[in-house]
Amino acid sequence: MNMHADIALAERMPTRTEVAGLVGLASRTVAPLWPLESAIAVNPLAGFEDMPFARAVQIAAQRFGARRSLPLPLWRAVLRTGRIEERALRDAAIRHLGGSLAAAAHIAPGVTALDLLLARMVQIAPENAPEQVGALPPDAAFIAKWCGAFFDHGAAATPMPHRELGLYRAVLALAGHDPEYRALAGKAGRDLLLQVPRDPLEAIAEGLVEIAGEADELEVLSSLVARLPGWAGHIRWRCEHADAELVAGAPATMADLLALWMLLARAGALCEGHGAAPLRENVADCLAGHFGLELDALARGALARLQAVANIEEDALGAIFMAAAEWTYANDLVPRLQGASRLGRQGVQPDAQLVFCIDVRSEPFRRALEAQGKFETLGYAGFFGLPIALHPFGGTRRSRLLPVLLSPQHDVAETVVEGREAEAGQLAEIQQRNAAGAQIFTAAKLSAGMAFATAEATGPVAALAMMGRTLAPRLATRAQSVLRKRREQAFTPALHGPGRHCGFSLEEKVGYALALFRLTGLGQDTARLVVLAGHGGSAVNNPYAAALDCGACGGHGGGHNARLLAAMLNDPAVREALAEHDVAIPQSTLFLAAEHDTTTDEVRIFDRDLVPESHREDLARLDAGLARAGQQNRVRRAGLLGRSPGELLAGAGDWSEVRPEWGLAGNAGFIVGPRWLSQDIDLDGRAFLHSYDWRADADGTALTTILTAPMVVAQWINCQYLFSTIDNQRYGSGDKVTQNLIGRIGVVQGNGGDLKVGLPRQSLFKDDGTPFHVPQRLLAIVHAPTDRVARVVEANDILGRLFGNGWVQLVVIDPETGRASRWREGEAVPGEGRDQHSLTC
Amino acid sequence: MSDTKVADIPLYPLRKIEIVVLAEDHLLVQDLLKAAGVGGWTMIRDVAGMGHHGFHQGKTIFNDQSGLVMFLGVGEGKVIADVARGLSRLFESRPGVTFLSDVQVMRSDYFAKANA
Amino acid sequence: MQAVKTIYPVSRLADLVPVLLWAGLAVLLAAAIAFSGPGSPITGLQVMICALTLFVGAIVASFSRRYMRADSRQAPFFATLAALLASVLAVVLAGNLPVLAIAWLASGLLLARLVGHADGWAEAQASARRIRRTFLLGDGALLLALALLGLNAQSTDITRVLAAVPALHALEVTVIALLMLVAAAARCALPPFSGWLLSSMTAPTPVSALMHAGLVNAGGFLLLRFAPVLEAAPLARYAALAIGLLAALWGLAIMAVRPDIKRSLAGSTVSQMGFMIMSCGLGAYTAALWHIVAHGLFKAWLFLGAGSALGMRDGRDTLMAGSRTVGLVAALCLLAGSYLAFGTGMNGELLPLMLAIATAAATLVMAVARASALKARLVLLAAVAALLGFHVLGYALVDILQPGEAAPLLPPFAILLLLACFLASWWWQALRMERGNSLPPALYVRLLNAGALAPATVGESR
Repeated sequence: MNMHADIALAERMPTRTEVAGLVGLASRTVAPLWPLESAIAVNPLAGFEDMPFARAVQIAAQRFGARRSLPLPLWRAVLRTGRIEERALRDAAIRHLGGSLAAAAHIAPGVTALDLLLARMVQIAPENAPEQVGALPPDAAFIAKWCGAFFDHGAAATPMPHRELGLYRAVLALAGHDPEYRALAGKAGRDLLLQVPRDPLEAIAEGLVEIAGEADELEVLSSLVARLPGWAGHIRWRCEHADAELVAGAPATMADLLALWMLLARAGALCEGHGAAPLRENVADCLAGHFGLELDALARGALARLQAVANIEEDALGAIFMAAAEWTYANDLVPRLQGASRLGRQGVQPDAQLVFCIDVRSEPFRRALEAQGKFETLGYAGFFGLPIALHPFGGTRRSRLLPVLLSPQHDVAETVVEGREAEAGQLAEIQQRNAAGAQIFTAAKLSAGMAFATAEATGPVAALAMMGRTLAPRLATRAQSVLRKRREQAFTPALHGPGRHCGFSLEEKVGYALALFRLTGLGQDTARLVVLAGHGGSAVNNPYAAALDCGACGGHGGGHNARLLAAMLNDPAVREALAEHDVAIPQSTLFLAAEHDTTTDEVRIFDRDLVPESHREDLARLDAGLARAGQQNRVRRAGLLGRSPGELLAGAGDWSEVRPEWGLAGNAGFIVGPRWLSQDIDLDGRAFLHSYDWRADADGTALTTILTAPMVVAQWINCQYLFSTIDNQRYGSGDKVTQNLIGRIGVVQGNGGDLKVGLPRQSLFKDDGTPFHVPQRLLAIVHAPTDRVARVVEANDILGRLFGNGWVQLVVIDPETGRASRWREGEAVPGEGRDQHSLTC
Repeated sequence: MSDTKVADIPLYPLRKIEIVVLAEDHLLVQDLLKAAGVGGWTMIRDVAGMGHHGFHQGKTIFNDQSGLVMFLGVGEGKVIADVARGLSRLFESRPGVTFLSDVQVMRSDYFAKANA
Repeated sequence: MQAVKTIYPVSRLADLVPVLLWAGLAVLLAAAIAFSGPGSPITGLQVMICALTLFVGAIVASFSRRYMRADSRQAPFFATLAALLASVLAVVLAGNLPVLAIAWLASGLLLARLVGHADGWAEAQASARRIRRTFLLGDGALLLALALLGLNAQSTDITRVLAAVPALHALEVTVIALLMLVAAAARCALPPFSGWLLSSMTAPTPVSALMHAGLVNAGGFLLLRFAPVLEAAPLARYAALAIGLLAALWGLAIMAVRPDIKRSLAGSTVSQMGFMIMSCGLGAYTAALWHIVAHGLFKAWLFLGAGSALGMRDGRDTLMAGSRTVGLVAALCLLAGSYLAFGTGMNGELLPLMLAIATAAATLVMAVARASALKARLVLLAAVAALLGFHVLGYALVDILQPGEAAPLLPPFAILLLLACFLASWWWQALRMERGNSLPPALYVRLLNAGALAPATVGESR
């Protein structure tokens, strides 16, 4: 009877709470997407890290309609550059076939299964799938359009009406007037607008009952979230990471987005998902033809084996290439590190020690610097362990200068340096004046009375500006750097805050200072000068400028953190307390702070005036070393970019430059160990380096800290680069030349659509279209006793997940035995069935 | 609803729910509690524990997302049952434990269902 | 592992084209100076527009040298760019009708190709198709108009054609003028033809910059070149006025509503082009030409610098001048305008002039209000004064080069009414922004959707 059916229906409807739980789980499908002004690298497949890597890539490809691997022609281009060795490729192919025995299986005289597979990978022409990027389906385009209008953060002078109601209810209020909605949903849609519940959770509940049917509810919701990964990611950022007052005017949760999808689904407006790529037909014939064989003439077993090789999907071939790339890298690096480990440290008392960020761009500079004199360099997290948020002078919003895994514990205000009040006042005035000018200009552009005269009056000035910026970009670079230097001299982050900004207590300062020594293994007999160098990039007219800055500092430059820690370490009270903790720093040691500009390779040392007479000579020597190292590194990097070093410098201020530097492209390794281990090896700017002394860390807490934070951040970076390279349209943000900044928070491609995640094409591929970044997984190499590493991994869920599922490869070089072991990826749940076996070394 | 008196203080019976989850899942549980209408809850951070997947340390110093957290919430039976139902779905894919118990509180109005 | 060193040869065209363009600009300026004075083979109008095109083209080409470095089809890009600029120059410098027509058609097709430059992108191809469709209509109207003119004058030489205009029957000349207006409106992206410009964001940024700066004003050039036709048909002038006014306000509304920077700038272009066509209709040719040149430079600069529109802003940051200020300035302008209109007989130029004065006044007030320190105020005031100076100089220069004006179209009170229209809209904007009112939902949705491409069929979104 109908009544029973209705009761059954009502019983099956999930409660609000259940729906909230489902929505929360479904939103894990996408990773949070930070606004471009503080761009953070995240793994686009962060929601799939519970699964083994290969399976995660497969499922994510289905969900997002993305590729599973780099196309074959591009892999072949990588092979030609030498990043993949033939030998490693053979080994990877053998492993795929199932071992040497299976690989040597006979097909025809002189032709084995291995030959077939290698031919497919390297020689046979791949299927000519044209790179057609389809338009966004109308249902996604509709929701994307409204998301763009809703999440606008100051771009449009007239914001969307009813934003304070929340995303779902605001769109409900406006959809009735929208002809696109009428076209999508028809009359049914219009009726639905009136009937549908105003609470998003209830709307989802009703929708699930109606459309889910037999399918798993979580599956349905997850696939809907995955339709617009960019906007969904932005919503996750708003809910989980944004400062509350920033987003208070326009509240939105994932439930709002899903409720909108449910509305379209119930109106019957959902479009079909992504189709599967067709499998190529005649591979077997091609293979046979290549070796001059007749398919009919083969024996049955041989034919079956040939068919098996022919049926391997191109994505699987790509996976073989990736494994080969990883093995090439590991086989080159690990034995050299082992060799260095056996030799041990050759101690020389350095003139100066410099602590850089673990970023891969630090490594070439460090190598160049170490060649200039008696300089020792170390690697530490770029935020120097200080979980701070900075309130800039004269600004309203705070910037978070710490990894996104942490929340700020201290609010630091930017104050005026003593003795520079006049300069500071001037700069503040200039800033305010420029801001006022910009506001007036923006208002004038869209007032009915002023727009036309403004265009006419500004025209000639615009002509001059364009000529200047296009024909003389170095002037712009110089002006930029002068202004920046003045600002850095006049303002500094305050160690002791007045009023509402809490300062640091002595215990906290000692704690942060100690962390530097404990985590990096920096000895207490420090050199006369110790420089803490943060880093940042410089670019103009570039939406991805913040992606070149330090990720550990939340997408900002690391100079502020360095200055704070240096001030702490120079404090006599702190030094006294440190001595009680067995870290007795010599009186003659002076700590300095600096920022390494990774685009121009200049190192700016702060607070030079505060350097006492006694250390001026040391500072001069250091300056000379830094200048020479910068020059050397510029030449090297300019070669990689295909320019002259002069053009490289100009590029930092050139408004037409799409690629001022390669950034972290090419990243492949994460080495946890002392610097002397890797000092004589040219790591080619591909490795993150974190200093670690296994002897000073008996209980393993330093190792735990390093592996659970900096390494996780490095894994995110590696995964972002990896997936953005594999499928630049879906996991990356496409070509820069057609990007369209939206809402002042991100980019869309062309006329609109989904907010783009990931990196643009220009940051990953060379000008001729071949990949510069080789998509391979991060190789973490730890220089510590094997059982200590095993303990640390077992005790921390996240490590078991990352290593066990193959997201990061772990190699341990035991300093006591000299053996290298590789953590084997297990299919089992972490905690069961893990064991290790040695690499051939 | 019968009130029990212990030394002249009126006590009211309610249900308590304790939830231990990974720190990275704490927002999920918060959303659940909010959606069910629980008025307020206590969250204890840096919890360590022993479970099927081994021993979980407390949080590490550079990562707030590792380690465990524990939620304590009190409310009416129906509300808490609602939360438990939502959690059961969560625990199908995420590790965690939850305990429900009867409890007596001193100010029942304090724990009344939040205005939806 | 040794460092990977490769040479990346920038396409040779990419090096050649900018040099050619800069050289061309120099040659043009030299020739203009050498051949100046009456009896010169090219008019001031042609010199100005050629100079603008070459300048913006040279800047865009130099910009593209680096910007398009990773493009897979660099040589075709630069070749098409060069061809497009050549066709625009041909349109401007053409002495006879067939050359004009062919160059006009060519420029439309080349533009569509550049907009659809991105290989294998369905949306880009859709944008290009839309451009071709819209231009088909406009270009058809133009061809018809030119054919009629040529038939009437029995010649293809433009000077002779223009001289023969008075001989045309009133109805004929009105039809021709309206056809030309349609062609101009299509090229200038005035409503109802604005769709193609508002959905052309698939073009690479430099192409958009060139388009908004140097190509959409082809419509204005057409009306200025064939001014006698327009002057002989008052109906067409009224139509130009109406369509221009509508576009001016509609474009600004779109600009205020769009969250993405490129479409917002496109809305601004629609508005500015509308104002320019309106000036043409009113007969203020100097104002129109100066507007073409100055707006072109302005828009190119904004587009090329569109990558800096980052950084979340508080809505409060873009407050305009308070409604009281605006009201006061507006009232004073109306007063001054009435004096000028009735007293000195200024007609078509009154509108841009009064708006310029209003802008200067309002900007000064805002500068004084926003900046607190005296020095900052002085600097801002100096900046405003400098801009005003540039404006005046530019206008004077154009006036020298292009001395012609048409007979006034509207009586003085109508001109004042027009002025009041703009000032009233401005005041309404300020009032609304002060009160925090948003637009009525139906209007907002309409503006947000303006120019959207028709929903695509479900593509194999790979």
